[in-house]
Amino acid sequence: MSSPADGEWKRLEPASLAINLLPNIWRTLRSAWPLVLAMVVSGGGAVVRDLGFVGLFFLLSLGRTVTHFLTLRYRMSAGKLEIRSGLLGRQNRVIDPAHIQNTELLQNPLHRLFGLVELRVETSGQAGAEGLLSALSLADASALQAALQATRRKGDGLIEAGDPGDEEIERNGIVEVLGHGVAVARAGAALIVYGVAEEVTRELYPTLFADTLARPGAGAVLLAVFLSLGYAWSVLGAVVRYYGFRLIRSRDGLRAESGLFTRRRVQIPAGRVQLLRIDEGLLRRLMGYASVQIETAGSNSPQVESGMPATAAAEAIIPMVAQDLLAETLDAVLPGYAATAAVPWRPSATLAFIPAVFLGMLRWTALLWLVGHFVLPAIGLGRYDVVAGLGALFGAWTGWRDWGTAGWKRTPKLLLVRRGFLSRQSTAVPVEKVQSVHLRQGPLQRRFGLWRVSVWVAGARLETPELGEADARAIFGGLGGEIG
Amino acid sequence: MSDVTWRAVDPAAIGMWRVQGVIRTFVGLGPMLVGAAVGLSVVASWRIGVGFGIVGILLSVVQALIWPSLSWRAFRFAVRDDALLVRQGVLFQQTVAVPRHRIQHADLRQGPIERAFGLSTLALYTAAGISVDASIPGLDEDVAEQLRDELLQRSEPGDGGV
Repeated sequence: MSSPADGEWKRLEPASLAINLLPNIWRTLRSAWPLVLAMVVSGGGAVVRDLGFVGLFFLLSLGRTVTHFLTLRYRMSAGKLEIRSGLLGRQNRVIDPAHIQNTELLQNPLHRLFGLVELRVETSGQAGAEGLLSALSLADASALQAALQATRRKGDGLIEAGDPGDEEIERNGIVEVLGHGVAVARAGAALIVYGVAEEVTRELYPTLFADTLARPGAGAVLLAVFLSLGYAWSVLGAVVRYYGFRLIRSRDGLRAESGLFTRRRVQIPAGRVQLLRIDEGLLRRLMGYASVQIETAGSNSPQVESGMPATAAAEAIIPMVAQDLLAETLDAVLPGYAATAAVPWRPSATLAFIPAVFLGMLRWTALLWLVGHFVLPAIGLGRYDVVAGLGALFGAWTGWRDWGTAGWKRTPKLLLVRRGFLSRQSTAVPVEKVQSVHLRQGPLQRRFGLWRVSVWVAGARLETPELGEADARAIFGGLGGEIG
Repeated sequence: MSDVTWRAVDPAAIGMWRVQGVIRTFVGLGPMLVGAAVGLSVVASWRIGVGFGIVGILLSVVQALIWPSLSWRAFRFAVRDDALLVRQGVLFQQTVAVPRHRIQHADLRQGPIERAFGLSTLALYTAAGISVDASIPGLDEDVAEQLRDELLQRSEPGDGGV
């Protein structure tokens, strides 16, 4: 195997034909969905026509896959990754390693069968600067990744004598991954789906409704089934995605590995973390954990991939971090985080409790009214107006607690904000990464003397809670002065 | 920010925004208002339709003829050594600070109406990924070019600007 660093053009492995065919068929079907829908709705009877369409879809997908395999070439040239692809619309993309935000190695079961991996390269640019090599041998992918990292290190002067080896800074066992699945489950969504299904059945199929759902206790059983299925789906999804999660600190930065069937390995070069979102919802707090989302400048850019189908954005999520280890773990991800523990939170503005309580009441009244309207009659309770009233009271209390939780703090390196009581979330951005700062006030906020500050980093944004003028100007002026 | 010298955009921008407002009224808002007024006259009563039409006309006049001068008064920008500041908004007020070393590129835009008034819009972009981080409309052509060059001259992004 020749090194990809020597300027020689290399191509994808032939097995990419098998690996990319299925995603391409799905992509073709998706782009022709009106036709597919028409075929399904029109029913049988035109077997030859339908088979013709199926054959056409297959040939189009096959053509796209073969063209991609035959035309895609890549090489490292003058320290940059160059990717050429396309037959009619040719594309020549050059990616400078200095701009790489993260690289990701992905291995789905088909890749594993052929001993291959997919390499994704994300930069801070938008559509024009991303690379995806969908089927490389592990050796080629590792060599290419190493070449990109070496070039970047050289540019950054990051090669240091006595670099420490890989250090595992977080590992999630199956219990923690299951806990994450339970914490991300959306019971509300399951309830709403159940309610709509019940209403549709009642209106469109009254006989079926009378035979099944109208029976005493049937609604409650079905509701329990819906909720259980919602939780099971969420837990299963978490296990598939985060099984075997490890976060490793290497001399090149951070590396996150996870996945049951499709193994993902995301590499985030040192100093590329733009923003951390720390999710400490009530359930996680009760379990003694938090979840952390690590965002780089590449996280939110569109997935443009040399003509191949997209997968998930390459950002890293730590599913579960024990709360007593949170500061220490996050300090390894975002240097300076541990120092924030010594700085007290500054509260949001006093009058901000008015919109907080109002919004809390509105949210919970509407939610419980909807749930009560659709769900309670099914389990034999009809007083959803009472439930909505209780929702208003509960909403006022959560709004009050939301206001009490909201706050911000600043250290020389980081700005942090925190909001939400039931679904508490903190956000941290490094001051040196700030791209622009926006100080905002609407007419209602002006009435109460409230301000908001939006702080933009590359690809993400931190939004403060409603602050008094002095605090808002302190953040705006502080960043406005220091970021220059 | 007491040491900041705020600058206004060219007063000719008020006239330009008025022309743009009138065109918007005739092309977009006007037909919609007429349609809604006629619809209300048919489905409700002619009084409601006429009332709606009158309120719509008044709002259109305010939007096209009065709002531009309020916007002009509210719009100010300042070039500091370290950052560009832009303040705008009549009802919803916003002040944006863009550090000069974060500016990735700048666009000078000029539509046909701007060209007729000899004005340009300067749009500035950072790596934040917002469509435009800061935009200064209603600049005299020469001032806009001068400002763009000045801002880009001092922007020296390191490490890809991110």
